[in-house]
Amino acid sequence: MPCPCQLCPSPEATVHLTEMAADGSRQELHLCRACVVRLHLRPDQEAPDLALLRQQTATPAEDPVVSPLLCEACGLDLASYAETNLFGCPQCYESFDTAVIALLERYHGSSTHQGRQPLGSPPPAPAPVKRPRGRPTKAARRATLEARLKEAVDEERFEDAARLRDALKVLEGNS
Amino acid sequence: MTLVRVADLLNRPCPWLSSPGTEGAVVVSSRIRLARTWADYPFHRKLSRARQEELTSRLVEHLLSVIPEGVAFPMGGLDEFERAALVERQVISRELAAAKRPGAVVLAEERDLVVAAMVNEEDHLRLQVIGPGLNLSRLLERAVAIDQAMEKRVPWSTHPRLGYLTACHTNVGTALRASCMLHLPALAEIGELKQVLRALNVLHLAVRGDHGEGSEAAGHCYQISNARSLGHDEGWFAVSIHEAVGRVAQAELLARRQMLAKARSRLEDKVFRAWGLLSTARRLTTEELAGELSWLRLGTALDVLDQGTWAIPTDRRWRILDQLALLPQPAHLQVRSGTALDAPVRDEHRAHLVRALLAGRSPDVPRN
Repeated sequence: MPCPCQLCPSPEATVHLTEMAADGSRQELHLCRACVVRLHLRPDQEAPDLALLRQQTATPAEDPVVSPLLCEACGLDLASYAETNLFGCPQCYESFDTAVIALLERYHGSSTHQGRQPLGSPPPAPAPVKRPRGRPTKAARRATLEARLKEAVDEERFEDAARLRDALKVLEGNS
Repeated sequence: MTLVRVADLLNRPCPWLSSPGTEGAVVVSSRIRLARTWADYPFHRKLSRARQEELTSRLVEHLLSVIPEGVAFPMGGLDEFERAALVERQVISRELAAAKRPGAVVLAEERDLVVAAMVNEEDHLRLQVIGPGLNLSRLLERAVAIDQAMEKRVPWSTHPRLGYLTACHTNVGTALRASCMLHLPALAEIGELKQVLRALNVLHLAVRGDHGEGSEAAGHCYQISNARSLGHDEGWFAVSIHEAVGRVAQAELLARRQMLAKARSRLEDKVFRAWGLLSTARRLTTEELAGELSWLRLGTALDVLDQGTWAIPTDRRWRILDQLALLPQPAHLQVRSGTALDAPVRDEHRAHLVRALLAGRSPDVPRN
């Protein structure tokens, strides 16, 4: 017989967590799929603290991460994304906007693309780019500059190309 | 490249596998992968089979237009051994090989680079460029050039804030995966490998066995790649991997020097035992071969095996080691034999092939 989720009004819990204390006492927490997604619980992570989880109550209507649960374009249920890690269509990114941004921030440490844009797209706003730890080797810097220069020439962004060519000259001059 | 069958491909040298690679034979190969999805189609889990067939056929047509040397292999036209052989050659993923849905790979050899474009894998297009040694910037340049040509024909799914959209959130943004395959036997032998690999995880880099996600590190080969794809540009990710791989390679070279200085007899014992086993065994399993081949590769890199033992010049030894890494793999053996082989028979064929290659003879496979 299905038991209700203990953190939201959902009538059916599908994930059942059990915690055994040192004194032998046993605690249980029953969660629906939406709450599992909302709390970013994954089977491969360490056992969560049930007492802390109990404080994370939500009602789907109030919690923007839980609602909407369906993508209008393809009908994908957000909870089923948690099981497969596969979206149904590009529109899912808009439909589950808040949850997606939270997911991306958590996984990538960012939710803002800084890389290439397809041809014909407006150039992205310049953003501070953190360097990797340690300084890139000269060869790596030259390779990156050359690749960007070729891209700028191919796309006929000649001002960018001139700037990159100057940067290459400076790099070569430092040898 | 004019070939129509996978068997033809398997008889050719693999361009990305050109040992000793770089960084003292530590970095075997590099790979750049860009994931793209077509804005006109949902992702595969919400796409009907008929539309997956249509998508596959249209994407293959566009790829062949922008990669003039390319040859398309529709997955439906390949048997299980041919698919597995392409996995062993690392031009398609296990996922594409196992998928029951329509799909294809477009392959092109461009001097020492391989372009391998997987169609209808997890994303509509997984464009890969693979080359020998540590050379990510050159591979990135080629991948971007192909992508730019494709963008003139196909509207990719993009988002003004999130960049290129992919079926899984772990690839969104640049949708770039830069990876290198490293041979790390000395770090493993002196017990420092786990520590080095743990440090990579802290830097948000992923470490896997040599066939990608979920595979074991057979023969001390590890693939290092970026786990994140959003928040920085493509060049930044490539430089991050380039630097991390360079540091790991330096650690491996230091470990090799330590072994030579402090444990030379242990090192020589491993290398000569490997030589003895591989040059005389009558049956060899894949795992046994991978393990022993690792020591033979290290012995060649450190010039431990004298000419009296292996009477083959060093340049040619590397070619043979590359052949040993591919030709005795299970699916390669079966495709080249033209028939399915039981494991014990495969082990016999493998040992026969290994002995022939080590002796400098042509890589004939016994035929049933």
